[in-house]
Amino acid sequence: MSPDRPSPVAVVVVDDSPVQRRFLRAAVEAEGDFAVVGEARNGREAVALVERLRPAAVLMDLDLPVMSGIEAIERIMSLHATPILVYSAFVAGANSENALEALAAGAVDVLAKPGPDDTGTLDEYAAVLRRKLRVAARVRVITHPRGRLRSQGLTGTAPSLGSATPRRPLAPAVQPCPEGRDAVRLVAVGASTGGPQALLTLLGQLPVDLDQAVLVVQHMAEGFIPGLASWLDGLVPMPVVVGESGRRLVPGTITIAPSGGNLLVQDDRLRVLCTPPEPGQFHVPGIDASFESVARALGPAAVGVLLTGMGRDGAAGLLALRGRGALTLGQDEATSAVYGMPAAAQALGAVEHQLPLDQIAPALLTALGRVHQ
Amino acid sequence: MPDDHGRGPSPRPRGLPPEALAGLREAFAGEVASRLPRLMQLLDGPPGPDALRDAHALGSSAVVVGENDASRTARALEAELGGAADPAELHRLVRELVAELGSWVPA
Repeated sequence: MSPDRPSPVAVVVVDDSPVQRRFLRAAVEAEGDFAVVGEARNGREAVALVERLRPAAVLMDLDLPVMSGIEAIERIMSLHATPILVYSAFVAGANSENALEALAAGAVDVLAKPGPDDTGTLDEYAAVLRRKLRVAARVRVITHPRGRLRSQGLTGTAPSLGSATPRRPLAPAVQPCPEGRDAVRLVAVGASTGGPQALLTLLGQLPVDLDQAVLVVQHMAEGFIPGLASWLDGLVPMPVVVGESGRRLVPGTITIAPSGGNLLVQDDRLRVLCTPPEPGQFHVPGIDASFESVARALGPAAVGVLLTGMGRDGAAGLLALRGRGALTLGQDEATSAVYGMPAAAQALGAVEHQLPLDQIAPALLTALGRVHQ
Repeated sequence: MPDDHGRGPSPRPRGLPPEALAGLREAFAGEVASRLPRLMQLLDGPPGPDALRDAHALGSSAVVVGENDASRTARALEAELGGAADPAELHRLVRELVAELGSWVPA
């Protein structure tokens, strides 16, 4: 789109319900900055339309006939990577694992269709849709191999997407932590947009007998974190739990920061405290808050990892970690769904090693003195 | 204020341009006309291949036009179809849904 002559952003909507397609069209075209260039009634039509029309974004339901939404996302992301915003009733509450599956397949974000007990107006909901579409359409998505591999019968649930890509030589100059340096006890990971898929790749490469505790802070709405934990727990070697105030982070266990506030590491015994968000805090749970607490509590006995995401949350926290002597790793631009947070951290000088996604775990294991393949 | 990451507020059919609202109601009438008869077949036999999808779609679409009671019934029907599928409960829910949505079907 030329900045001199702005034209509406092309969107394809995918839903088997004519009511939903009509609502989506009315909603996204209401302010003139989007144009629905195609409508698909099932996943197969969606894949074909995206290939033919090459829209800037796709708005997609998950419960689709002929070909499911998840399969359609996988195919689109493997063939013609396009920002996809999922709009489905199957992503809320007990179905939140579907949201994670969609995000892992390559969708940029998810939005739940309203239910009969929700409150609000159609105009408000349309405004949310447009706002999310504006963000989604700006995301520079990357091709995902899973759909292609699955179509070739080469993989099932892809516990580690990183393993689906050809392994490159270990590039980083990450060395085992020198003797005398505090033994690393905690790996703190922050992620936002594109995070679930990136987390799957990273955490899928960590062994079940890891000596360190792992803390994950993923920006996510209230109610989705238990689904994220459950979903990851079924796909990665280490057990995954949701953090709770007063409990400790446990070696060999991945703890996900709960939604609704910030998870702080209180001391070197790895006890955690969940606190309300700061006034005006936009991203919840906050990565900066967690990383800064880890820096205070553990200093060089921690490793900080900042993955894909929009905005700059985590950058200051990673800088605090580096300032206290912790190893800090950032995801590189080429493999980030959104090179926002890692870029902000890089600009601050917070990133000691900037790496492709599939090389972060090997580098981490090298630093921890673990042998990796 | 809508939740920017998850569930948003329920759309009620107000605030849209009249032509958009009319279009939604027209589309919903069409959807009821196609899906409700298939669900009514549950009164005469086991669930067909589209029953679950029909109940799900009506549950979501009904909210768009303000038929929230029908949406609840459709979602209960969807849950029943996805679970025990007790025939008596299916029949009760189908009859309830017909009562709530029957006026959308052209005479």
